[in-house]
Parts: sequence; structure tokens; C-alpha cells
Amino acid sequence: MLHKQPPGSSRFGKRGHVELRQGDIPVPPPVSQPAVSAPADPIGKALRWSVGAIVAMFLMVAVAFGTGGGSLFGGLIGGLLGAQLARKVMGTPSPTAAAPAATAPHATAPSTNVQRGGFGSTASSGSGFFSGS
Amino acid sequence: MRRITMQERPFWRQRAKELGFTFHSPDGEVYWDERACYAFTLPEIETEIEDAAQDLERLCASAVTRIVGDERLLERMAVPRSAWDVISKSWRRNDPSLYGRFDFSYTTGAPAKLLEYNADTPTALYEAAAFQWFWLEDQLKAGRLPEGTDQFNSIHERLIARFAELSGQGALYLSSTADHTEDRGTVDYIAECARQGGFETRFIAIADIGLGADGQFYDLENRRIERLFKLYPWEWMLKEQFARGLSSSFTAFLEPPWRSLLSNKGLLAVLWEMAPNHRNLLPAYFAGDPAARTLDGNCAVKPLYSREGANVTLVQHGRTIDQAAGAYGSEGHIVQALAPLPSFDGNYPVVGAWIVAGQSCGVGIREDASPITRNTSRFVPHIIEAA
Repeated sequence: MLHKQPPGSSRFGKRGHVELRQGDIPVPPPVSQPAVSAPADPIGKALRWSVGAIVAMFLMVAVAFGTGGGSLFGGLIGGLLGAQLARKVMGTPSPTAAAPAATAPHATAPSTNVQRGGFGSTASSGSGFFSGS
Repeated sequence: MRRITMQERPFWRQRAKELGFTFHSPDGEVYWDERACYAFTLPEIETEIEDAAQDLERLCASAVTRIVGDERLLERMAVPRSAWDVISKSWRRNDPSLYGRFDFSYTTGAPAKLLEYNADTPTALYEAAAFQWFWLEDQLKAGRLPEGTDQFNSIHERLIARFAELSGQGALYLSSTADHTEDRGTVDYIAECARQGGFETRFIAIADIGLGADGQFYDLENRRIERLFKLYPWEWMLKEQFARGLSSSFTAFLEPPWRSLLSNKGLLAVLWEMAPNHRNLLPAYFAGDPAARTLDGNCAVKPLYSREGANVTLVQHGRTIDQAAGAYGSEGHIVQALAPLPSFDGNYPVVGAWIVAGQSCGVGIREDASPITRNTSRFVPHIIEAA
């Protein structure tokens, strides 16, 4: 068994990182953290769909007049372009865009919605309990 | 195991100051005490301490499985009903643990006996992991210890390795009460290990933690707390106002909620029920259990939530031989067979066996002038004697 470790330095002056033997420490099971769902926004979503549909219809009509028999295909392309345009205008993230703020590592909340002081009351009561052991 | 009188390093206070070890002499009282050390043989360490701690760690995992599935035990251990689900889910998710410390009564020639498991907020960590190691290096350099003298101590390396396993996206917050020097020092040390393991770290006082309307915990800048190391007992958190956020928040806690079952003295009764006659266990029962009569008036009475020896009563031949004051006890007690700490000229050492990531990896010894180890007990370094 290896007890001694090579010296190193840091603020505490502790030994530096030591490479451990393979398999020395079992890998823990992964922590399963549920993903945070994006905030509900039914009104904004409906509005975006409406704008998308209108733009798509407009483009479908324009393409149909211009291309005759290719109107179905052109309409589909037009619909997609319309939807993209609507996303851009209304701010809906595309599937490949960055995750919404609520799922970012340092998600923030409006300060008015955050209460404080709900932990720590036992320690501050001066009741003669110990936090360490 | 023997106690050896040692010459102090003349510069150790300066060294402690340079290293950030700020709580070596609280209120002018001796805490770090290098006027002596405890010496073990290698077989003692490997067989009697390391193996014992490793085996008990395995047994403790079985105990948690048993407790979370038994409402009768949860009630006897005074676990708030509102916390059962949080604890149970934490166990079922395999929420990872960082560290813990088994406290043993140990005398050469007999198996170490488990007195308690500090599985939630163990302290005396920096002094065990780092400062006693520097003491060993200095004493070897000074020729006060023979070449080949060793120490059972890879705590620091294990902590860093554990953090490296756990590190990923997001910062690790560390929390304790803001004004407790020892707790803050311990948290600072753990933060450094976490940084060396790859984490970005931030301190937040426990009272500054915020709970949002969305059921998530936030820091002072309203950034969500994804991971939180807290040096603050679970039995407090589970009863405080923000306990209501524990079931809704996605915060990963170190230690996780299931560790509260292991730091509860009721564990000792559960372990004995599961593994009676285990060589490292003492008979232990919940107070009021008729089986406690078999202890025949030789026992330690311990409150379920007690820490630092508070409210522990030692009884021998039906007579109280020592008692520590404190504020614990309303939650209930256990009764454990008496295993008096050995006395070395009136010094009573308890052997703390450290566990990091489930691995037995080091020893720290605290001694007291009384048979009960308290928050005022001294930390004394140890060695493994050269073969």
C-alpha cells in the first residue's frame, strides 16, 4: 500500500495532484439531474405560429403564380422559409441553437422572486448545537 | 498503538499561518498538538483500521437500503416524515458522496470498535489530510523520526481525485455559517481540493442561499446553484424553512441527503441488528428496546443527532462516569455497549478513519483528557513505525 505522496504546493501548501493507479477509485454512477423545462409561453408560441403561417401562405401563393406545376414543392419550400423567417423575427430558437437560459449552467431568476434566510436559522439560534462533527 | 512524546517544531505556528491553518489554537487553547504522536505498526493500520473502515462502509450501504425501505426505522431515527421522500430519492439516484469519518475506540490487540460515523459534516479534515503530513515531513527532515516512518494518509489525493470524477459543467458552491472559523477553514480547504479537481468554486453563507418561486436554489446574484457542498447538518436543513425547496430543486448536494441516515446515531442500532457480533461493532439498541438490558449497566447513551460528544453519557456498572453537556436529546437516544477509549497517561485518543469516495484512505486522531471526545479535544498526529 502506498501511503506517502510526493510533495507539491498551493495556498495551503498541500501536496500536488497525484496520479492514482488505474481502478483505484471506482467510478460513481452518473448523477441523474432532470433537465429544466423552458418556461411556458403559450401566447407567444401561438403568435409565432400565426405569423409563420401567414408568411408561408403568402410565399406559397407567390410561388404558385410564378412556377405553375411546381407550386406544391415551391409552397413547401416557401412554408419552411416562412417559418424560419418567423422564428428569426419572433425569437424562437431553432433546434440547433443554444439551450434556453433556464437550462444554462448559471441560470438566473428575477431577484424579486427569490427569498433568502430560509437556511441557517438553527445555527443562528445560538442553541448549543454543532455544525461539524 | 503507542503514544510517543515528541519535540515540537519551533516554527510550526509560522508554518500554520503561511499555510492558512487558522484554527490551530482557538481561544488560545491547544487544538493542534504535536507534543506527542501516536504510533501504529503497519499491520495495525492495514488490518485493524483500513480494512475495518472499508468493511463498515460496505455495511453502511446495506443499512441505508434497509432504512429507506422501513418506515418504522425512519421514525425511530427521528427522521422528519417530510424528508423521507427526499432522502429515499437521493439514495435511489445514487447521489454521489464525498467523504466521511468513522470514529473508533482502538487498543492494540483488540479489534477497533465503531463509536460513530461522521458521514454528513465531518471536520478535522485539513489537519488530517495536510498539516499532519507536513509535520511528518518536517520531523523526518529534522531526524526526529527514523527513516522509513510513514503515515496512513492519502486523503488529500483522494479528495482531488473524487472532485475530478464529479467535475463537469457549472460551478461548485460551498457553504457554511459565515462566522465559524473552523468550519470556514474546512470549507476553504475543500474548495481548494475541488479547484484542483477541475471545479470553479464559489462560497456562499448558508443564510444567503435563496429559494426562487420556481423551487430552485440561487446565489446572491440569482444564479442557480447546481452543485452545493454544505458544511451544515442535514437534520437542521430538513427542519428549516427552505426544506420545502429540497424536493423541487435540481441542486446536487455534497453530502447528499441519504448521508443523513449514516450520521444519525440510530445507524449504530441498525448495524448491530444487521450484523450482530461483527468484530468492529458494539451492541447497540434504540433507547427503550428491552434488549438494551443485556448491556448490564455498561453503556454509552447517545442522542440520535448528537455531534462533538454533546449530551453523551458514559455508564459503568450502572454508575455515570462521564457526561458531556449540550442541547441534544429531545429527538431520542441509542444505548451502545461501553468501549472505553484507552488511556495514555490520562490522554484518551479516538481514531478517526477517513473515507473518501467509499475508500478507506487515512487516519486523524483526536485526544481528550476525558473519555468523551468533544469539540475541545486536541488533534494529535500519527505515524506508521518503520519496519
